[in-house]
Amino acid sequence: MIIQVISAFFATAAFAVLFFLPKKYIIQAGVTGSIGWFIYLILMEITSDKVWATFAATLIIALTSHILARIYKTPVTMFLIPGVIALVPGAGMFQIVQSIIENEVDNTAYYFLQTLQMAGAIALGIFIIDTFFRKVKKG
Amino acid sequence: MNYKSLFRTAMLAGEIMAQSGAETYRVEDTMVRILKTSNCQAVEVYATTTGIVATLSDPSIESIAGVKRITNRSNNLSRINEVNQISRNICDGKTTAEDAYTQLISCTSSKIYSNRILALATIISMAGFAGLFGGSLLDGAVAAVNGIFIVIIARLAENRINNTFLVDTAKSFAIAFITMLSVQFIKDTHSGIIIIGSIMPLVPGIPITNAIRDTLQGDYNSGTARAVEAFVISLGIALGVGIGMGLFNLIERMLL
Repeated sequence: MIIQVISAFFATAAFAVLFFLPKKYIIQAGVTGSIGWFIYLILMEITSDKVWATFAATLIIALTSHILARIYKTPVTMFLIPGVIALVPGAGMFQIVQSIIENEVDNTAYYFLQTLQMAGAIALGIFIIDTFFRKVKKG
Repeated sequence: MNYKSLFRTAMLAGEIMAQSGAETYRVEDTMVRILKTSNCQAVEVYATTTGIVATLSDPSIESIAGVKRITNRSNNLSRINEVNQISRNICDGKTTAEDAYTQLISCTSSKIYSNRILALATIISMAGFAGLFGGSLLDGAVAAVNGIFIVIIARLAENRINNTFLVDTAKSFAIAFITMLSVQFIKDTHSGIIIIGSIMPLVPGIPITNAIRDTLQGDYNSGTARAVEAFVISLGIALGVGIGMGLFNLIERMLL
């Protein structure tokens, strides 16, 4: 698990470079990503439900990103996009299309539903934290 | 106040944001804020993933309208940050629209990372994702080798093939073929983990998440456009991986 969390740091930081995140924020983005993946792994151990683990991890990542954005006075997206990259169901999208090509109807439906649920969990997590911070800002 | 130049600046700001992968509401919000500094009665901006329409009108002026088609999209966080900063300066009255326009032009030509660093980042991210999905060090090493090939293909295709679908197919073909070959000869490696880890820089994770975010926000046009974009990208990758694995199986059967 430690290896996975360290890998998450490198994967997220490298992805942040690919997304042209300015140099001074790379380390912070990497830490955000590895915190998120750590939460995800722990929840997978307890509940073994991908959707719930993704949702909880997104909440933490979005929270961290908002705090970092406040500190460095940047748009939240700067930390949020690299942070959630490990969770986003890109591989799920791939599996959907692969099962369509291989004509496996059951797998297609399974991966389609799972990808939709995970993307939905991420979007909802981001949405909740966004709304919370907007309310706080207004007082 | 020069409304024309303000409008021109707002259009450019929106265009850069949309091309850099910003969410639709952020594009609209930025443009509306810039245009509102004119104190005109009617300020309307309608942005989608593939284009922007805006209008600025007031009884005292001739109304201005503009359309901007957005053809290529990528993720560029530093540009979103810069445009955000410039638009804030306009709203605070720190910069004039003309100065902001030249600043925006210069931010589109700046490149904060060299090709060498981007290539290195691609390789590290692929190895990192193999590790993140529970792969061993050896799996990571194979993913890194895949990364080297991806970088070479990207370099070869640059300025020659102007079709991301084909390039993605070629890249994922190489990933699948090299992975199958490596798993055949190196013990204790897992083809599934390596392939999924290696295609992570290609797969449309951000478009599919932004599709749902846009949809929740009420931007249904952008939401569906992004979902379709994600599907098409995935199709290219799945085709490449399918062909790569199929070809490998064919060769294996012929040789053994």
